[in-house]
Amino acid sequence: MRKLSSQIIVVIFIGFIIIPIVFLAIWSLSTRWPWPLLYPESITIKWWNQVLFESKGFYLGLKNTLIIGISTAIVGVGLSIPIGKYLVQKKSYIKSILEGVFFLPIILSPLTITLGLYQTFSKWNLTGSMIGVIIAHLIPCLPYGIRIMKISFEHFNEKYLEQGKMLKASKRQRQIYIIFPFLRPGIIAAFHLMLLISMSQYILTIFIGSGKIQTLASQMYPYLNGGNMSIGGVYSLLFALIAILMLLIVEYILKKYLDRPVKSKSNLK
Amino acid sequence: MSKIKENKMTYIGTIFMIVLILSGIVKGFMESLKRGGWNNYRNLFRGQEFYDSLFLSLKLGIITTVLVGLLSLLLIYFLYMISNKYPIKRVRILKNIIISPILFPYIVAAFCMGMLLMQSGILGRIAYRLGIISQMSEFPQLVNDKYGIGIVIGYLWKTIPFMILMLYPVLEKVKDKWYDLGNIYNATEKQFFFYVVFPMMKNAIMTGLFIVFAYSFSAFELPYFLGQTYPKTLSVYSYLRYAKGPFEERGEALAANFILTLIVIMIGTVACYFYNKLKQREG
Amino acid sequence: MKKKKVLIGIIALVAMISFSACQSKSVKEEVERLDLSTATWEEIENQANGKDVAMYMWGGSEVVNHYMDDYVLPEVKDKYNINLKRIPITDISDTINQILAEKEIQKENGSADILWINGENFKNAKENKLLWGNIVDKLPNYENYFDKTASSNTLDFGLETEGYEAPWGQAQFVFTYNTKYITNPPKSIEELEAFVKENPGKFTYPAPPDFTGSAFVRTVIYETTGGYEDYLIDLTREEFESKIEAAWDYLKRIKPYLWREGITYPESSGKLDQMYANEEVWMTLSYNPLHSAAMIKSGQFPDTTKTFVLDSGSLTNTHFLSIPYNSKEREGALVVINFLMSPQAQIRKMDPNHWGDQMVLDPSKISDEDHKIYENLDLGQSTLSLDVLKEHSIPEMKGRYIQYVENKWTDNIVKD
Repeated sequence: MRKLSSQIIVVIFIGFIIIPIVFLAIWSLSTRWPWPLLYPESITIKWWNQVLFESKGFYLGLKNTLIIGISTAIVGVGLSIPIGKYLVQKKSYIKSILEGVFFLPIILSPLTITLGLYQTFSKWNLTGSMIGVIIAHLIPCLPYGIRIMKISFEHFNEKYLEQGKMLKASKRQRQIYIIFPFLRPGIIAAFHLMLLISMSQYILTIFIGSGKIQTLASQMYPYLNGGNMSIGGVYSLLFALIAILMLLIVEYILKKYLDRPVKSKSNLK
Repeated sequence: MSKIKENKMTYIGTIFMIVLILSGIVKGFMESLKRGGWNNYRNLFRGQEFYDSLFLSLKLGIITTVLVGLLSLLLIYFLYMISNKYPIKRVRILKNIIISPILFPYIVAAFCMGMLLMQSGILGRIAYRLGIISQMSEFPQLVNDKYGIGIVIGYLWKTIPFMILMLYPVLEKVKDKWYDLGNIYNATEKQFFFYVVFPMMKNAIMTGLFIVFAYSFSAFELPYFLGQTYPKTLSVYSYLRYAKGPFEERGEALAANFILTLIVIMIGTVACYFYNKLKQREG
Repeated sequence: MKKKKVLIGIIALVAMISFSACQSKSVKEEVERLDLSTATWEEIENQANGKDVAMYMWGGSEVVNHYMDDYVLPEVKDKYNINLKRIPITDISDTINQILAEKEIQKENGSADILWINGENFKNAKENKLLWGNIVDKLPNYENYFDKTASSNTLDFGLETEGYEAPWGQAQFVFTYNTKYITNPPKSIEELEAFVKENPGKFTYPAPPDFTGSAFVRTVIYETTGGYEDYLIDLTREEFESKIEAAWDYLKRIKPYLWREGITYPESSGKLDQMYANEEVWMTLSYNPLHSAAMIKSGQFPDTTKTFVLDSGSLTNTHFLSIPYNSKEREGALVVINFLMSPQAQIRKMDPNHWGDQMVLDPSKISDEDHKIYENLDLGQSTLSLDVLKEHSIPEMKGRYIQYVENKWTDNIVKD
């Protein structure tokens, strides 16, 4: 009985989650869908055709989104690991404040930060450039990355390291064989999340990018904001598909790369 | 050697973040004082609109957070129950389906909720087809309504997956390490959840809920598309004032924005304080 | 202890660097600039050869984007070897903001070369000295094909353009309705009032400051206070306030018969269009008489859609192209703008198959073959004839009145 009720509830939740997505898919394929029809008047692929084959905007946006997203994620992970580790070591008053500051971008509205940033970036000639956008994207991304790596480090047991020390493994060996494999899930998660957050940025991109840098998000918004909504639907789905694809690719690469050392012969076994 | 490199990276990263974040906030504050100075704030506080907007933002933020808290706990509980009966791989697939809304930006959520919940939307049409209503206007107002129902549903669609994203890893980790221990003590599934799993999640829950609150309080897209003309939430109010208002009134818009920022920071500090106190008590 | 010292040292260093960056950079790039006040058009075209020009324009319309991407961009590349970039934006006021920020830090190389602009945005830009200056006098097509005396070309919402912006197309406010539900559309604002009373909940307008919503309110103002002439002159705030009382009264009267009883309004005309397509309301509003034809073609509006204007006239305004003061490709911008004002580009733009935006050229000045093409354009069955539109066109009121109206609408109508 309990089994059934818990299953039903989960199904309801799943339905709630999935229905809007299914709906997006139908909308992206429909011509007209007036009241009171439960399905569109007719199905067409013309919108998909338009976006994927007839206009060049999509591919430009895709290219930029990926370059910016992946760069942001890589730099983000690179910075999150040492900062996360640092925050886990002996706590001090300053550290708590630092943690707070790192946390701020998550909770602040983009408009506040963006405006101030624009002036600073302009002076340093960063506006309208990919690098500027990447740096700007780091702001909403790093807090999540740092948080994830911090939690990873919190769960890390020093005892493993000590074992390595006892077995006379060098610092580098300890890093590669003990620490990184342990951090791997955290790194993957941090990379995932930061990539996604970067992809979803809108106001930050159009402001700091001065409109020159077009990402999928900046192209998608005008359509969903009162433009052609079928095309907006197409973009939304493509956005999600690309996000998934990127996550899978990244996971595959990272797993392969971080797994390698453990598989090779190690004198720790 | 690598320790110094590590520290360098930390310092660079830290300073970099601090400079960017703080300069953004400080500049935001300075801009709010341009063109009008402190009058911007004075006018803001004198008008009724500011308070109505603030109240709406708080209301939506609190309701969303409470609902998200309850519902995501419910969901993670049932996920836990399921994970005891089914292989973990399947549960992971289930979890991945549940967190899929994270892949879509908020504007997509606004669009979907609108098209589903409008009186002429899909749900309305289903009700019409089933004979529950005989005309469009009989369908309840779920979007652009007084209570912000559509807005909250939209938030739920995005934030419950986010909470599950944060809580699920704890679930797997706990099961990994502690399940056998629980078995030794002959704990029932329910007991195990409440006495072991849930406490371990407290950290993630509180962090997650705080993020949810901060977001639903200060977000823009959902209230803009699914809200009413008046009152607007503080974020929508300040954005519209800024983007579509006359140049001269920009200062007031930025002031509203800054107040929003301040409130979030204040609540954050308070939350942090209580959180640390709790942690201390638990030792 | 040592670590802390190092940390503080680095922070101080960075702080110093950021402070020094605050000093305005006086980097002057030596760019070969023609003296454009004396250059011939040929020289301008030559200088523009091979350059990248960035045009900032609203990106939410697929048809507009197609017109640009599939016709304009290849043509200017072909004809003039200019790499035109279309920069889609949601709101040109964001770009104005950006240029304002650029001006404040004295940035000489701006990102935008051409702006698609009019109305309050143009006024803001011009008043804040963000625009380059008179450009129309340099454009051959303006000389050849335009009625330079027409106020639609020289007045932008009551403000003299002084040639700072070049006319690109025309907008005219029309009501769109669904003949499935309405057989006799209202001809005056009084008839509209009767209509909403008979059909409660089936009409609404976007909340100002949405421009289309604001246009509806202004239409109400014209209709309830005796016409547009009074709003072309200068009025004091009190005079204006008392004049439009009748309009506020009207809007309050019809409020309970609107969609959602007038408690809330769609936030944009896009949302209103969506509601219209869903048949939640029976009318929508647009500044483009050919918009509904384009929407029918793309399958978003039902083909029972038609448009109408009120007997006493419909607001007409021009939209323009302008060049920011710090554009680095002015020659390129001029050449592109000139092309956009050519008869071929204008007629193609007017064709609803390609965009459906009215021409700003003087039909009497274009060549005979072009004229024939122009006459034979199929504007779509929902569009009113050009003659009807022309007969009913009335000018917009001064920009600052509009801002006032948009500001006060919420207070007067919604906050009850």
